[in-house]
Amino acid sequence: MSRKIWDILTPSFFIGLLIGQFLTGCQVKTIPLSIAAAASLKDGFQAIGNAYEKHYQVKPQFYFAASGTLRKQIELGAHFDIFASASAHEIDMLVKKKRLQPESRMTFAHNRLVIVSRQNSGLANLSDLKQLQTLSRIALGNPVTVPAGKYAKEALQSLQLWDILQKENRLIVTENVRQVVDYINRGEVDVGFVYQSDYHTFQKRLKRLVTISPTSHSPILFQAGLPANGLHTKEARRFLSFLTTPEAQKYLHQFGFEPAVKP
Amino acid sequence: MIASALKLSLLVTGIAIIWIALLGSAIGLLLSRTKFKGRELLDAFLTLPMVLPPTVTGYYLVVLWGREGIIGRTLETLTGFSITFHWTGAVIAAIVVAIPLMIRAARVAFDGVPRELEEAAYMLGKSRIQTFRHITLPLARPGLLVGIILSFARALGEFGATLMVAGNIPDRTQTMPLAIYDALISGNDRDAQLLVLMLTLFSLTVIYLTNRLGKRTVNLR
Repeated sequence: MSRKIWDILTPSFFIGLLIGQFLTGCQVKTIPLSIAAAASLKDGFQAIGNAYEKHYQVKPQFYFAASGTLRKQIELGAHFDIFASASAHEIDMLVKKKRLQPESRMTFAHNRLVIVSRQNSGLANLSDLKQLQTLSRIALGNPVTVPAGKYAKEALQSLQLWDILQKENRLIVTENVRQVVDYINRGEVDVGFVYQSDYHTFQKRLKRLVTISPTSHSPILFQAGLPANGLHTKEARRFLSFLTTPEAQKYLHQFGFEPAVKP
Repeated sequence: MIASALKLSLLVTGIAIIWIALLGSAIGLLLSRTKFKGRELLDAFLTLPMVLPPTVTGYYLVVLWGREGIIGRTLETLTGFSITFHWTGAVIAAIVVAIPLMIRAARVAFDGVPRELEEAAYMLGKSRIQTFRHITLPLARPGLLVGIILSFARALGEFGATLMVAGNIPDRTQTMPLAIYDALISGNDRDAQLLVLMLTLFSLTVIYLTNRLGKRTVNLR
């Protein structure tokens, strides 16, 4: 009985090794540019990536997650050629820890914070944010790792609403900003804080209740830079400069981002 | 953060283990002692959450228990209460994921009780309940305890399904495994280390205890 099992297991182990070898061999060839980017950049960057591939025959590989999560992964030694963050704070921290080349840092877009609900929620526009106290579930990104959540927290704090909503257990925190969209779509929460760009991308399903005043939170800067341990610096620099070309900016605008003001 | 995660983990796992022990033993007894059509199929179905990736189990739970799900919607219209993003959601996830271990252990434990001893008790005029209390249960106890310890450990460590059903909300649904993930990602390395150490020590104790109880089961047979 056990002989038989080994007769099958041993060859499959070696075949597995061969396949693994083959796959990693391919991977090295096809990923010349790996980009860690904020979850909110997903659709915009995919469009830019396709355009970039057409121009330069190089296909960027994207990894989308909360900026804070990606920042931590880079700190722990993950290899990415580019880090595109939804906040300047994460870039600051990496520069301070010497994990990012300071001179590579650039701002490529701005954004605004909005509160959205489902398209058919029947909720009226929030003329006064105090009305949030009447809703049972409000989603926002985890302020520690998700920049959109951090901005939302700042905005709520400036209105003295954060502590109240927190105490009344009305706040649901998520792993990244796109999870807020998911929770709203699934009907698990009533409203949520997302970027204007997320609202733009999912306009068919979402309803904008209010745009948060930009003075109530720190400026929403989308910044990118080259991690210190990146492997393809030359290619990465080319992609960074591509981000501020009119073509790339057009895509970002199309997905609801605001153009970068060049320094 | 550590204190609230610890408290929440103990609350969630504590309530889950009561349900797991009672329900799991009952199902184990049913599977061991009764023959019915589709018994093995039922066993396979109940074991599924042990084999499935926890995120798959989590997906099913969200589909069923979410605000738009069949169970979730019914519950909310009846009671106005929803388990998603609430610690009770973590309890449900823990029960579903860990109960297969209890069912397996209970089935084996009851299978291992010699039927002659039970029949002897019947012949001496003892009722079924008396026989179960004084013969079957004591003989199956070490095996049941192993099941309880293993499923307690599994429930305590539950991450994937819990994250999907209850979310990761500090002080409300953030159990110890979720707190470790959060502490690492947000750079609280010391919190992460402390939690990791606590769970490692606990797991070590679990293995030691189950091994000792396992030996006793063999001796009894």
